Amino acid sequence: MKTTERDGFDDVLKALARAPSVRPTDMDLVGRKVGRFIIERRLGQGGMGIVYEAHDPVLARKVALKVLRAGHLGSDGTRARLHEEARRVAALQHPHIAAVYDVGEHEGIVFLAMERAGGQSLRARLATPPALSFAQATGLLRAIASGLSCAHEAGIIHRDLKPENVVTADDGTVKIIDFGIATTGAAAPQRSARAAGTRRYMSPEQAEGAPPAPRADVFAFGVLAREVLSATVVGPRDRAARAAFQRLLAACTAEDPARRPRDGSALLVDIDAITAAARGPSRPGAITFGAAALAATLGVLVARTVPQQAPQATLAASGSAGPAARSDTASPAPRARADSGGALSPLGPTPPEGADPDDDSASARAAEARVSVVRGPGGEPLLTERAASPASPPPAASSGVGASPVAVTTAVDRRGRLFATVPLDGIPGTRPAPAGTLVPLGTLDGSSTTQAEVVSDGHGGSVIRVTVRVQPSSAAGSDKGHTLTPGAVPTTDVTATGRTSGNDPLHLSAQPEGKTGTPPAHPAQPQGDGANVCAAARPDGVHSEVDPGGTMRLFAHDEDGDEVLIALVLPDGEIAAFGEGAAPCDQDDFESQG
Amino acid sequence: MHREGVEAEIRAASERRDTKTAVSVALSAYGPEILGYLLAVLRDDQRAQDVYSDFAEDVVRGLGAFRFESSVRTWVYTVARHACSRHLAREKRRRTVALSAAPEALDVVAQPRTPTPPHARTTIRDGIERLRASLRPDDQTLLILRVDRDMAWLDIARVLTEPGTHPDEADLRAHSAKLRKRFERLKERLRAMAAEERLLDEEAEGES
Repeated sequence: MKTTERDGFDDVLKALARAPSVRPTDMDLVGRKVGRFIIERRLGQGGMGIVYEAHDPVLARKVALKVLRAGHLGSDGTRARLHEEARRVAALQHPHIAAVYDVGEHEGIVFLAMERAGGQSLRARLATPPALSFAQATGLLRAIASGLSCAHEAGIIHRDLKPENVVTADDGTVKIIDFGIATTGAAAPQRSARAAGTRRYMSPEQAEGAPPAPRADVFAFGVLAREVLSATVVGPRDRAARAAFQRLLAACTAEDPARRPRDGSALLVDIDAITAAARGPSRPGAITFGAAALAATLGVLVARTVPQQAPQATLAASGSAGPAARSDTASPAPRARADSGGALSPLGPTPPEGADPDDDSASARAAEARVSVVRGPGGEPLLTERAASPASPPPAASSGVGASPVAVTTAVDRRGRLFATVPLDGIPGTRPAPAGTLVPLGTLDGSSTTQAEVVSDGHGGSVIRVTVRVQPSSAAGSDKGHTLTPGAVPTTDVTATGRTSGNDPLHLSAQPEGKTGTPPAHPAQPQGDGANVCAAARPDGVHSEVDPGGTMRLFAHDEDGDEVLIALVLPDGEIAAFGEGAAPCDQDDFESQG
Repeated sequence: MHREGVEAEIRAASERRDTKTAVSVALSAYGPEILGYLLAVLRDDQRAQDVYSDFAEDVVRGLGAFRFESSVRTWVYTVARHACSRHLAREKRRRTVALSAAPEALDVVAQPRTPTPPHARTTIRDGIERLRASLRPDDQTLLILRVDRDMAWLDIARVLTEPGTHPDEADLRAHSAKLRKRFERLKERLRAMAAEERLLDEEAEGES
């Protein structure tokens, strides 16, 4: 045939005409001995091979023996991939992943001996009455997520997760099988024209032949989990958890991979959070404080950027480090917390508690970072702030500009650490931006501001520093009509720095210098808009975590000191689950704690 | 073993009426590629296995009477194609017409369908599969024998001879000429379909 076609038609023709030789003996191996294994019956077929039940006379046990499927046998690449599969999966030791015992070749037949997971496939189970209870379904999904977590941590991506590749035993054991097309992200081709996997469970990027990534498995999990949950019996008590699951699965199956949980580990954490929330506290009312803290925290920390309002109490940048730089508003001057470890600089190193920001080292740092120090009424260091570079846009804290519709999830935990998750695809200048660029994110709400700054850039991406400033609404200026006791709630800034190399949500955490795990003292009881200020005023008692996928979990302690999950907040800011007894922000909650 | 050696061994065994050895050598040498051919045409392991069994039985029954007017390889392909045709004819009698064989039915089915989600849209593999599914078994055979097996036109004409007919050399030459034209028409049709499936390099396509 002609080989002069330049449009690729020759390749298409060859693909259509391809009919690789197949050994007839591969078509039916029942009764044969392959290696040391005696094949007893055919179980089914996977993406790459036929699976038989076989007997291992040496160890006297049943195994699942997978041999290369007819049609693949002539492919050296497929043989090599099966060996690679065996090597990788054999390295996984997890109760929810079928173990690999052996791999080899026998008379031209490539085989893989795996743990014989008794029971039926999840597909068959879903089609067999009785229907799963919601608890059974979530337990099953957790097991799958757990297995995925293990695989992802080992750098293995399944790439063909579906109900047929999950086996459930009568005793409830769940195992993921058939890492038939599993591959490591590192070893995978950059882009393959041949999309591997099963269409229904294939993520958009996987279908496009993009390099495999854990989020492709998360997508498949989302599709699988929807099928499982749709076949379960849901009782009245399960509805909240089911709704939370549905939100989680919506995130899992988001078209944009960056909106999905990062990997199996993140998925597992989210599922645990939902199930923990569904279980609720051991005794009703045991987490009253948790409810209060939750309400407070959610109000201020789970925030979606809103169109700009000028902050109620902005701080003037000063060219000098002189004392008594004051707020330029009529609001009461904030008072630094004695235990705060010093004011937290949004841009530079934080002076430790008691340090004089005018001393040499502090001055050097300030000069280097071109920051000015804002002091409280007693001369104590309160805030430092960078003098705006002429080339840079003004920081959001002082300008109030930057109404970028970016959803920012932030939290300050009891140790004073900031957690912020910023979806970078909505932030200009992050890929990469010149160092020193300030990226205003806008206000979180009426009383807190946040800004992101690109502090360095390079081949590895940009280093982003996010500052969240929580400050009290002034009594007169509060748009919510709440009153606030002057000086009761300090303004506080926390800064976190993280590196990004793409569009993944930026997960940041930072701990103020000089504070290593010591919970801050309980500040004065706020009497104002708790939703706005309590998270900053009384973060103790609430432990918050933001996973790499952007989902935040808030924990409180019950009467026994046990940590209880009180809320799950999805990356888009929606509250996915409340613990029992938790409620939206209510002033009574705070007063009851007084 | 080299193909000529295989052919010679089969012929020698057949001439000494050692049909068992002749069949054994023929199936050992050509069985895998015949099974590959059947899998490609039937696209189903189980069906291919069934037809392969019929084929093997036909070889056992027929090799003793084979007159070596062509290579054994060409003959086994002929036997396999006939076995495949019988199987397809039996299937056709007992099952409904596949949607792929009734384009008008496909149109009806397609109407109420919702748009394919982005992630499920065409990939190269899917496009190839659709093209493959559109091929009639004889067209698929023609492609395999000519492109993948690199068989001579005269041999292809032998393989594609209708069962029960015994064409002479002139008939085979005329048939092979028709097959060449059919092959060119098939390529044109596939090229158009490949372009529709966006499997071709559009820029190069425009230049050609």
